[in-house]
Amino acid sequence: MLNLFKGLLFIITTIITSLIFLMSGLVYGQSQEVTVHVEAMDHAFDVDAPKELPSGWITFVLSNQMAGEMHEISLVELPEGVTHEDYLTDYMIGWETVLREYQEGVIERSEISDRTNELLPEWSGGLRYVTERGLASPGRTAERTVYLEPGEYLLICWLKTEDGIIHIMRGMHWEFNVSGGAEDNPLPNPESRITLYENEIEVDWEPIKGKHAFEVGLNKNSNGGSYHNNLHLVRLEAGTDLEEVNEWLDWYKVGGLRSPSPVEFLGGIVERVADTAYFSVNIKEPGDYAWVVFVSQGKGLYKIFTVE
Amino acid sequence: MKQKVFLVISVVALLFTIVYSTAGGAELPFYAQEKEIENSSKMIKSEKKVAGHPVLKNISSEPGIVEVELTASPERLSLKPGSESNVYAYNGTVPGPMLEAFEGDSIIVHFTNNLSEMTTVHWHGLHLPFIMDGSPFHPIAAGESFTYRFRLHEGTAGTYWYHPHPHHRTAWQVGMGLYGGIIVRDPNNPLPNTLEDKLLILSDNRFDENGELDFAKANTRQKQVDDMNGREGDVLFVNDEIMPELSIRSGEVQRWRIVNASGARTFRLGIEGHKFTHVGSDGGLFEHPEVIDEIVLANGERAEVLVHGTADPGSKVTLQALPYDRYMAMWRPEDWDKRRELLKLTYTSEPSVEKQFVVPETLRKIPTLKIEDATETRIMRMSNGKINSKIMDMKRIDETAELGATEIWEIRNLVGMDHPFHLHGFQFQVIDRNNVPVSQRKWEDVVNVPGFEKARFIVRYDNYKGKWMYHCHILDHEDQGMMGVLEVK
Repeated sequence: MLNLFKGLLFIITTIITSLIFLMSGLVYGQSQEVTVHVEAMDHAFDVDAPKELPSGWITFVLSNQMAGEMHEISLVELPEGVTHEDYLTDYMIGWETVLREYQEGVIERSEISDRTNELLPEWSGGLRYVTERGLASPGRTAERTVYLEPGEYLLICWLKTEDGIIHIMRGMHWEFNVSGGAEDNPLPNPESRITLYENEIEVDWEPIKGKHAFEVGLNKNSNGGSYHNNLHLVRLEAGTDLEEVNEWLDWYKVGGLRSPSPVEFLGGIVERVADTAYFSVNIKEPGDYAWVVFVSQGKGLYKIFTVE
Repeated sequence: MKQKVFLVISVVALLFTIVYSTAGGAELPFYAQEKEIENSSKMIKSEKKVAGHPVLKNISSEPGIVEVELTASPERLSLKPGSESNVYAYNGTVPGPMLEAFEGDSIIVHFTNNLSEMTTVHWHGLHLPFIMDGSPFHPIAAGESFTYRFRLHEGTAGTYWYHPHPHHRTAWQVGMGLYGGIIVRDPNNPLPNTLEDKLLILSDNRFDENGELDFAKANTRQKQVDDMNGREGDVLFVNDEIMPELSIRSGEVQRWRIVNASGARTFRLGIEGHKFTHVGSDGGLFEHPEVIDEIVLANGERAEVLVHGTADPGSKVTLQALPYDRYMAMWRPEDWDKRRELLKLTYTSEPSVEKQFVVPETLRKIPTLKIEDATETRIMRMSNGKINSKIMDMKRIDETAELGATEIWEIRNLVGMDHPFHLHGFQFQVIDRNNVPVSQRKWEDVVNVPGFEKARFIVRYDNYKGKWMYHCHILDHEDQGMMGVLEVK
């Protein structure tokens, strides 16, 4: 009888412990690694996450397994009092107008700045782009870990369709709110560091196949700004022209960041806020690859390597 | 002499009766008789009107067979007062004549395509063999004919419609005027046949300054807007009229069957000071009536409602298309929140009906498709113009299922505008929306999924193998390729 009681007690304790363990994994709690899985579609995001996320370090996994075009994740925090709808209407319609006028030759590149000042709402200056353009080609999955303060955010894709429509305008946006309470999410744990100097990409990493997590240091110039704020990993094919890739990365160019891309992208970062950025890539095949730093209206920085 | 005159009159009357009977009018249901008598002189010319519509003439004298002739052709018609337009029409009218039949009837439609382009006739919502579905797989070339043959299954009484479905050309052909209504009647109608029966086919269209139908030209801003929102028109039609007038007697109850035949516009309908009793959906009557203030009908959807004449004799009310925000914020039209008038409902001066109709609590029994019987869940991710990131390819099979299988479909709308999802060939039952169970079982073939929402339905693939289309019923989206193929083997 006593053995039966002990047995029952053991089973009940095991069930309760398992339930607590399971439930702790279902909610975003303290000291939990928070990951948001995003499946890219042409042109929408299928996001497997609640609309309310805890503040702190969050990893966004951009899976581009179903789409036929390249996509990215940009995260923008809205200024106080500005709604998601304000961003999509006043701000995006302004950008869409500028882009259309530029593509149709109504305005020159040098006039874009003045025209956006005319069209964009005053609060545009208060937008905070936490990350942009960790580009992932079809069949690739890229990860980006960012620190999110409490606020209202939009997850968006700024790339353009073949006929020059910004993906956001086709519906590629997802709104969410970040609330306080979980600032102690674990820090990213990169295996290697990449540092961006004025004329060099310094990589402390031995290239091998597999998933790799990186920390990117953005070296500062004398004015306190970063020399470069972006880094991309591309897979090279015979005849890949990296200068052409640098040109294509220029959003303001008529064909810039439009599908199709001249090369396959495996992930990366654009960081406008912090001095350090975190991302992961998955290298599945041996071959030639390159780290690319886009330089606007100039010559890009490249570091070519081979994965055996 | 008087006897001779009497004899001649009797013979003429007898002949008239024979002609009347063979013309298909002998077994008219009660609700059609009044119109028949009013139009008896025209009826011999097959201009019989039922539920306010001309009806396709049944050329078969055999019981249980409805055999009709249908022709699509270019015409020049006056759709709105004061101007004529080049249109496409079925049997010379927009909308086309109504197909009326009973459950169990065999339908034979001798169709002729007199257009200068290929077309099909899709029998929207009907459960029929694949080759009779009028999908893009079975186009009928210009100048060719085809005979559609199918049987109306028991339990399918309801309101349906027919329209073309050629790949990439549906929005154009429907916009040009090719659509018509279908009423499948129940021989054991749970609602009394004395209720006035109206078929309201709602549509909209756009006209240029010359009165011609206006379609956006390539590479224009309007084309971009139409590609995103679907083509909407600022002129609203109920059947073949703009702002027609219907009459009702105070205390009377009328049965309205409403079809949204527009290419993109969602109709949110209401009559000030009135409630509707919602009694049916795409696939016929509900189990239980629901009292509602408004009805929202997305493209392709149908509703059956009872309209209660609760106002005083002599009063006038309006059926309105109320504002409905189905748009992405970036593409929302400026006048989206405008109330539009559709139809004037005028109360007769007669005193109120004394014995008022009481709506039965139960209308019929609808079989339950059990979730535990489902062998598969199919996920459809809808963005603008694509499903699961794919554009329709006639050579590709997107989904494969076994004949007789019961399955669940989860329709996820990943963008900020409504998408009405339509499955061909099989009626389904919506289970839940955003994980919240629906109030009752209904047969549907279109489920509208608002932006960033999801809906699940359960379906059983009975009787017919084939390659069945599923698509967004915003016709511009369908034409862009927001469509896929389910092969039932």
